[in-house]
Amino acid sequence: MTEREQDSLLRKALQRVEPPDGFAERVLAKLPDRSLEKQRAPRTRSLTSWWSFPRFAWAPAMVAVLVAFAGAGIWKYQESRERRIRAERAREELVQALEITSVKVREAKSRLFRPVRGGIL
Amino acid sequence: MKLALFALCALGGMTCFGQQIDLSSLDKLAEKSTESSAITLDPDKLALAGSLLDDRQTKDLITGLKGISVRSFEFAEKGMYSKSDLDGVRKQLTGAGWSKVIAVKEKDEDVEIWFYKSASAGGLTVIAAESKEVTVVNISGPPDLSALGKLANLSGLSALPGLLGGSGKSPASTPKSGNPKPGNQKDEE
Repeated sequence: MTEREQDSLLRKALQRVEPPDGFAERVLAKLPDRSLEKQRAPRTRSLTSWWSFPRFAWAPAMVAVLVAFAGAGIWKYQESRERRIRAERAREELVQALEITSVKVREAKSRLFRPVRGGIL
Repeated sequence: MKLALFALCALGGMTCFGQQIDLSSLDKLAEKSTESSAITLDPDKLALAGSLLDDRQTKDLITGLKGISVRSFEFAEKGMYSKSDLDGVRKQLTGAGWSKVIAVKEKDEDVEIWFYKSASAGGLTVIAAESKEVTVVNISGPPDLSALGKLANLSGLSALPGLLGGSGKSPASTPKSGNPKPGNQKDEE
């Protein structure tokens, strides 16, 4: 084979051949729809990456509930403590008031029944 | 119409709180005194104090009271207060329902015990005026004054039961007019 024949054979082999009708459509139909995936990807990925782990998902809620309960407990304790202090003060005042009353009534009674000129009124 | 309603409310208030004496006119004596005690226990405070008591009967007695007011002043010298300072208190005791049951008058010493009695309320006022000391106590509560005498069990008030009828004479026998009971009056100048 001459050099010219070899060149002709090679040109023929490498000659562009047009695909059959509908080839491009068939190939594209078999590929997944990337355009839709690209649209969804950024949003779904951020949510799923966080919420896909239940322990992380419930942790903030649990912390919030615990903080709320702890706060309510502390508030209730403070309130009952203050109420107790006010009650203690009120009781002290009550006892003091009754003691003063007692002393004055007793004095009046003792003066009333004090012996006068050998007798008792 | 509004005036009539106001008058009705005022009359109702006077009926309900007639046994309560306003002792605030005595507060000015605190500045002159060397020692003073001013105690005012309203029903809320009494309920608070009662909440700490274990004894049911005493608790009921305390919470049944409508108020306790005490003003006590001690002075360094004689004449630091005048008898007219007590006029404001005495004026309130001239109202209906009050009766002076004990009046002891000695030199520089004057002790009066007044009772208030109505269908719905009772009360006690003690005025003790000495040369260097003046004490006024007002207790208002239920119509049954013997209940006040039972308070003796709380803080050693040994004198009250006999006077108020807790273990002795019934308070119902006290005069209902404003005149003192003659048998209980002693004047010694």
